Amino acid sequence: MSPEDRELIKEVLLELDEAEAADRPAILSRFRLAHPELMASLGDYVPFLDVADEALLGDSESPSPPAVVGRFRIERPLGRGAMGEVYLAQEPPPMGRQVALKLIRHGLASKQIRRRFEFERETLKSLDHENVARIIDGGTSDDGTPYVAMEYVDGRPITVYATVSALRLEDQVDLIRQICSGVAHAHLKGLVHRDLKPANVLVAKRDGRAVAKIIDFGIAKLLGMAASPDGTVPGTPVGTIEYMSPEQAQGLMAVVDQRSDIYSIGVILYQLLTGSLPRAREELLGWAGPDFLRRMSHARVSPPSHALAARGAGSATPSRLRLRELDWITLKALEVDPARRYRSAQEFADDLDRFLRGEPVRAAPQTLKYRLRKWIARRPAAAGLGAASVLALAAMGAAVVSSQRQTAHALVSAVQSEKAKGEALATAEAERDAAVKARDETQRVVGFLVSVLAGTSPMQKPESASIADVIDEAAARIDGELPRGESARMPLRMALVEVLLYRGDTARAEVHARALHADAVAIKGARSVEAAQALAGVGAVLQHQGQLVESEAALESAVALLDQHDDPEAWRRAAVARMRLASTKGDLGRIDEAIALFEASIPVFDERLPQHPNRISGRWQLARMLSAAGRAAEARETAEAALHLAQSAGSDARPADEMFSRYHLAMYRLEEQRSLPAAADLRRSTDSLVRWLGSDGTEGLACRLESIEMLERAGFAEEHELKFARDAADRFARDSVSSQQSLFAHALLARMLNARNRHEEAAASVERVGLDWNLATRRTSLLQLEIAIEAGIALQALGRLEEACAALKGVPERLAEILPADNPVRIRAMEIRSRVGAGGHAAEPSK
Amino acid sequence: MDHSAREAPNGGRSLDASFELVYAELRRRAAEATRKLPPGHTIQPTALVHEVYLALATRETAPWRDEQHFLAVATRAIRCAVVDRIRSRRRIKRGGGASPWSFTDGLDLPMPKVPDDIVLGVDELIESLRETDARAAEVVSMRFFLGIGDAEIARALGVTPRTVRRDWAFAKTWLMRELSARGTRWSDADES
Repeated sequence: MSPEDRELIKEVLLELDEAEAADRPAILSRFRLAHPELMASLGDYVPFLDVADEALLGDSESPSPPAVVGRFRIERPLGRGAMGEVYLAQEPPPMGRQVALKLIRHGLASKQIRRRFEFERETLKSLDHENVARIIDGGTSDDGTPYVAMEYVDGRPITVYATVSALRLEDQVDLIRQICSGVAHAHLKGLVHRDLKPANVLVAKRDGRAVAKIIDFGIAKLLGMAASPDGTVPGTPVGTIEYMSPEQAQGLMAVVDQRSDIYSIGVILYQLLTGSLPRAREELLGWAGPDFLRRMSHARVSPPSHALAARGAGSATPSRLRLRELDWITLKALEVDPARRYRSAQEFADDLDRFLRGEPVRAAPQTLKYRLRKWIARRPAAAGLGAASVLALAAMGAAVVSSQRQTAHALVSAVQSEKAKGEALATAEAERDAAVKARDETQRVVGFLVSVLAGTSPMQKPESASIADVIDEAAARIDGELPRGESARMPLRMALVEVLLYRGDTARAEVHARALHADAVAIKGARSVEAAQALAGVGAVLQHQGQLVESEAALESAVALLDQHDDPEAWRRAAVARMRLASTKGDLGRIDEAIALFEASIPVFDERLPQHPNRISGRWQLARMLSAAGRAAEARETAEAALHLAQSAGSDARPADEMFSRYHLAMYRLEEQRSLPAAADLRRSTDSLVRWLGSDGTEGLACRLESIEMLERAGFAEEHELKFARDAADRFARDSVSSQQSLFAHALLARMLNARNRHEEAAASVERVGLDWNLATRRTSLLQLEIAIEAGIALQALGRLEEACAALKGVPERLAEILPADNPVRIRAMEIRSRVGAGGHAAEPSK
Repeated sequence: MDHSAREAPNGGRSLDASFELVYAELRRRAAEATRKLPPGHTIQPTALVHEVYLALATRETAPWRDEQHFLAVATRAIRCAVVDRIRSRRRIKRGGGASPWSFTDGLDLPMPKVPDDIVLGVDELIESLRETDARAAEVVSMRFFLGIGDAEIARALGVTPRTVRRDWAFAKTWLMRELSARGTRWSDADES
């Protein structure tokens, strides 16, 4: 060591020598930052600071050490503790262990301490843990001074060790984990330390590993140690209040339990991480008084990461998430209210363990976002995935969680009705079991989703990893990884279906809806509520898909199955499925059946499910059907009822309900009145609704189109509205969305173009839809039939009579099946058919 | 024990030469003081050193260059005396006689507070320390054997008191480390 280096070491040794014990780690930290290369040398000297003066100059007031205490031979002083001197002593053979022998020169009557020791002796001696110094013996010396002999630990106080050895963050956390583990062992034996502080946690290297040992377990209790609110502890030096739990510092010994030790460990952790104390001594003393706890809980501890960031924690700076995890863990241990701390030292140890393994910590707020981030962080390759994919999976996760929340909701209502039957207890238990099951399932599902996200193979081509890729991967892995009987498959598929429907990918949605049904049948049985619900889901997807006949069949079977079950959950689902069936029938053009079904199912919601959104949305659909049936006044009245419900829903109101209701009402008013103010009113309410829905989403687009269709019917549609319809149709075509919505957009566009004699454009637009004119029987939906009519009109006008004839083949017949004779669409079809008919025949011979 | 000094800095008499003179004077004065004092009373080593200094300083042929030099010499003398006393005490215990030239009988040396092994250990280690850090070794000698305070040592060495404290903080931990490594016993257990 060069003379210059030695002078640096001298300076810091003096600083340490003259500092309070609590300030030493900060001094060491500063020195480590400035002269990391000298820390090892400094470490040779630091441990001797406290004993040197006494050993070399003998300037202590203590009487000279006895030669023998009990059966132990005193070798040399190790230091001076709160309660008396500590000596290194030798146990006689055969054991011949070196022990740290503590003489307890305490104000208390030694008899009392002796009695306490006799009482605790067996418990103390039973302590046997790698991280706890063993208590070897205790008793009274010849002059009557009580003593305790414990395993001698040749280590350094943890804070000193950590700074001298320049420990990595993980090693520091591991030392704290060891303390927790040792403390947990003692807690199991019913021992609370009550005086955990760096001086009582010694660290030594063993087999190349830093091992922490807690000394003085049980000593504080022997002494009946307590603090008074002025911060002094009878018989202990003023200097440990910083590590004392609030309840202990306040002197509430009756409530001091294991969680008190957890607080102290929290302080040590904080000090290791930051080099400073969470609550300064002066601050604590300043709060003394009856208000102590309240004042303490009002002063927020600044998160360790702030101090770490300020200190610039060296080269290997941990990620922000890692630091936040440490914040959560530390602050949880440091809660003023013991009930909010870790419940046990083992729980604390486990969380530190999770941190070390990179798993999500329990102290963290349990958000989906956090769990997702953790999973991704553990799979660095996943970082290549686009943000869009993350969002898609987050949406899936959210869908799962919300679907389970609905289940819980249903369970509660089930419980309420069961209670009426006087079976409250059994159902409460069932509810709890179901909730636990649902929670476990959610965890499995979220875990799976995230693992898919993190492990998706598009990793190799991260730039191109689209949402669709991720979803495909997820779908493949559901089959590949989750066994058939795994109930988590169901919410997972449900989430997939929801995400796909939201994205307008009806074809994929259908595949997964069918798979969900298969799973439900396999797991719960073909006649189960789950299978029936899944079947209803298939029906709903098929309706979106435009496969209305299949949709109708699926929904009818689902309703029939659900009706066989006699429980609240089943009839709730039956009511929902019935309404969906009504909607499908409406799309099929079976307007009267649809109206009858709506009129039958709406009262069910009114009477038995007054909070269900279908009460209002069912009325919107009924109004649409009534309008299609030409019953404009009734449509308007029904829309008025929906608005009234939306406005009186109070706190349960969904903000969109009222806006939707106003929009529907404006449509049917316009239909009834056909006035310019009514048209203006419809445009206004459509604007505000679309603004709320977002103009990009399919939902906003659909509302705008529906509004334009009504304006067109009433004769008020303008050129910009035609342009909007064209853009919408273009967009649906570009995204190859072959849904009802796409058909609707194209039918509307063609009708508007035909009405304006722009037949060429109209023909181009319907051709894009790609309907196969020769398969008239498959043109099942009213919209498809309408498009066929518009195609016929355009082609006829363009003189392409042969094609027009093909387009119209069978159409009037189909319409005659589903629409009453006076329906305007049917009349229009008959007209064009008769016009084309002659030309068609005229053209036929040329074939 | 090797008490020979490395050299005499800045010319003048060597420490060894000075030591002979100072040591002899100390013995004479101590013996005199002991005769004058009532039985059971003792004389403080610092008082003795001051007395010797005054007595010798008035001579034209003072054996030291300056006060600093003198203190170093006196410290060595006291240290020597302390160690002698311990050795003779051990000889007495083992049946030997007292050293005929010891002057420590009437002195209240600052030794009884720490075990003899420590004193002897420090006495030996000071020479190793001197190889590393001569000034720190001097600080140890003065504080340990002469028992004088920071300010006095600082004046004697011509440095600031803080430097003395720094040297002491280093020297004491250095010594403790060496003593621990040697397994020096920290109690008189085997001697009582």
